Amino acid sequence: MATPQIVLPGEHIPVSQIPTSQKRKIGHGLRPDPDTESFIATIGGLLEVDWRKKSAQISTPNARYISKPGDLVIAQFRASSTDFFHLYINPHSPQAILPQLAFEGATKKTRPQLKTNDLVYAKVVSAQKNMEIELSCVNPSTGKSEPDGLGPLSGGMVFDVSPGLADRLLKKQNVLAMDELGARLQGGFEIAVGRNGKVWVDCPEAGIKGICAVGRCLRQLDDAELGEKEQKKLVNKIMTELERG
Amino acid sequence: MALTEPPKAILHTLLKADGSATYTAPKNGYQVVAGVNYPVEVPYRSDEIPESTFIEVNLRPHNGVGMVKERHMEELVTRTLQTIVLGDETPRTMLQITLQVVNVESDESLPGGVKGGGQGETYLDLLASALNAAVLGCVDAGVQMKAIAGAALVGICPDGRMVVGPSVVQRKKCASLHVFAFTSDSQTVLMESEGKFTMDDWKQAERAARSAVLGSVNKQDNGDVTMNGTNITSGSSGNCLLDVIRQALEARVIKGGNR
Amino acid sequence: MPREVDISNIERNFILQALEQDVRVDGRRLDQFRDLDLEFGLEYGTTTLRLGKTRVHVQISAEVTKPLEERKFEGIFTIVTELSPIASPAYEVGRFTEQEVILSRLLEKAIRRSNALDTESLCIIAGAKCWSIRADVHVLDSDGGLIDASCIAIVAALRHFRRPDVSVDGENVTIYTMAERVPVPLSMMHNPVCITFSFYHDGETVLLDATRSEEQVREAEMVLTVNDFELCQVAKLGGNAIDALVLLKCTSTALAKGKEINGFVAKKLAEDATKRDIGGLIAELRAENER
Repeated sequence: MATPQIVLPGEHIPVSQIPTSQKRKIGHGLRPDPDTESFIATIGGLLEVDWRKKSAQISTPNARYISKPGDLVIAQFRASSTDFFHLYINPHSPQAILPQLAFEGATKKTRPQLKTNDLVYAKVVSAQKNMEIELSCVNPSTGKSEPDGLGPLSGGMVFDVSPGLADRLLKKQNVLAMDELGARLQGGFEIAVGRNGKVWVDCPEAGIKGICAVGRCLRQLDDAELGEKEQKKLVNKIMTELERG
Repeated sequence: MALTEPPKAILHTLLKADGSATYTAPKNGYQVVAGVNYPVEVPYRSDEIPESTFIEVNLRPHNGVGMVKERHMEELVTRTLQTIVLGDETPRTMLQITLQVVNVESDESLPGGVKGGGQGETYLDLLASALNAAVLGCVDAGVQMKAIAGAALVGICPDGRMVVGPSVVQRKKCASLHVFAFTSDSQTVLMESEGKFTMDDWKQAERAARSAVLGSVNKQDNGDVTMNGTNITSGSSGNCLLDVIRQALEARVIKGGNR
Repeated sequence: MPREVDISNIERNFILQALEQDVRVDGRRLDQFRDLDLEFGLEYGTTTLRLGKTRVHVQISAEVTKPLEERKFEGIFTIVTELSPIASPAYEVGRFTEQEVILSRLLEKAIRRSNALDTESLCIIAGAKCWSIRADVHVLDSDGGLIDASCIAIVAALRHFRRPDVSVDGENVTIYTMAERVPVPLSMMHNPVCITFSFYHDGETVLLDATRSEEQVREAEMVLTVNDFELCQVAKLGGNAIDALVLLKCTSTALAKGKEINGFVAKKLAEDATKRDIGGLIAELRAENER
């Protein structure tokens, strides 16, 4: 990975810094310059170029989440119409739609009955401007909810984190503390991460206190940039607190 | 003519808003907190723009409620932002900006240190700070823009001297006040003037403001290169406004730690 | 019309379940306040208060006006609270939400109508000139506890504020600049503190300083205003009924908390005073004034 580079809106990014392959993926925050081959940044943040995956994008770890196809999100149910569920991905953002039959094994009769304010773990299918964002709870090729474990969520707790941390959790980047905590917490815990900055946690064995411990760990990870050692220390601290009650 | 004392900018000073920034004008001047929500649903259907982003700016004075003067400034900030925000990237949504003035300069020489900013007084002094805070907030919120913009306040003394970012006492003595805003690709996007001045004065003020905002743009004039080269030793000493914005973003992204 | 997004069912159920076991999601004890932090601006009467993630900025300003016809011997004191979209897109400029009305009414009752500020001392010439003191409350971040946070911030700002000194010579009033004469503090009669109690599980669980999500799932709330000695206000706006014994218990908790908070504010004010008092200059000036 190249050295981090800060870009501001309106800055030109020379061709040499962007993968040139036909299959390259140019992500959020970059638009091609009509006159030259180069790109122009449209948002301020960190330019991330991955030469192996031939992708480039600008990341803004704290700004509001912007949907893009393939992302996993935790959305909140708001209303339903004949064929669709309408959900919020972010509070106050325009609504997203989820077809009522886009659940594993759903038919007209067996489709899930969602109540207002229920949460659903779903995948973004399409996110184009001028169109509503479309979600799905099944893998289009297999018709199954696995391997992502999509579908309505129940039990457990949802914690708000920054979209930057959600991204790191999904990529398992510098979040050693979560593995560590999972190993030490009785019975481990189950987690579902939404790119929109929501993390669902459940641990049936360690109960409510266990879930709160995971929540505290997430908040600490979000508040400060912790190294490997510090993360281990953090887990130790959380575990002693938990044992003490 | 660079700023004698650079303004201060900190990104992400609030926790709830999507993007936020605190901008402090030099010499203990205005301090403005900007909170940006983007992109959010347009509350009223009638405001929705089918092919673009609706920009709402709220300017709130440090005391009292906003009136005609604030509405006028909101309008100017909105119009300036419309020229740089890529509205067609997020159609039918809203970019909501709230600018809260949290500190104003007080004039110690007046009874009770009376604060400026009454309805009858000039609005130019606050305008530059308000616009800069709004742009910083937008950068933090990840608003798609084709360039960034910055504004500077220039005062012209009766003897023809230019003061960039004059203090409240200096402002009182100025014959005219000017606010100019430029984008990072050196387009002029806002010019507001008040007072008595000649065309030459105005041109000079425009140049002074341009170098305060864009700084190194002077490199195009051969004469100034050496002077600027010595002035800005490290190249990023934060003398011009764009450098300040860049440094604020660097501080934010590196501290916020994405890596 | 913008409106607050409801809390999800999962969060609601979890918070309630946890409270049954006396556990709060952020790990606090039931009667524990979030971290309180108070900052004073360069100018007198500028205060920023942080209560956890909630952040309130208060600005006090003073000007000379004519007193009200029916109250010739008193100055004017107003509190202005307006919630702006900076705290949440659900707040709209120029449209009062119920929360906003309750906030401003309660603050009005707790501070202005309890005569925390001695308005008679603001009179300069009866019927002709008086000080008008104005407190502007700006909520910058809202994560619950707005009433408590705003009240602490206003009282702290009032105690921090200094108005310019005046002298009266017959009909003539001279207002001195900050440089000419040391400005004078406002005369406070008492320091009210609002404490909000949130009730869950039919009043069995009582929480202090609820966060936004805890506020959203509560069954009832009650605001008690106390000062260093006594209870000044009981406000219970709807919600489930609570037991008289619980109310008594809350009162003693509130009195203890109120003292604690006032102590904290006093400490911060003293710190700020030492910071301003470089080289004991102000003390010297004050001594000179008295002479």
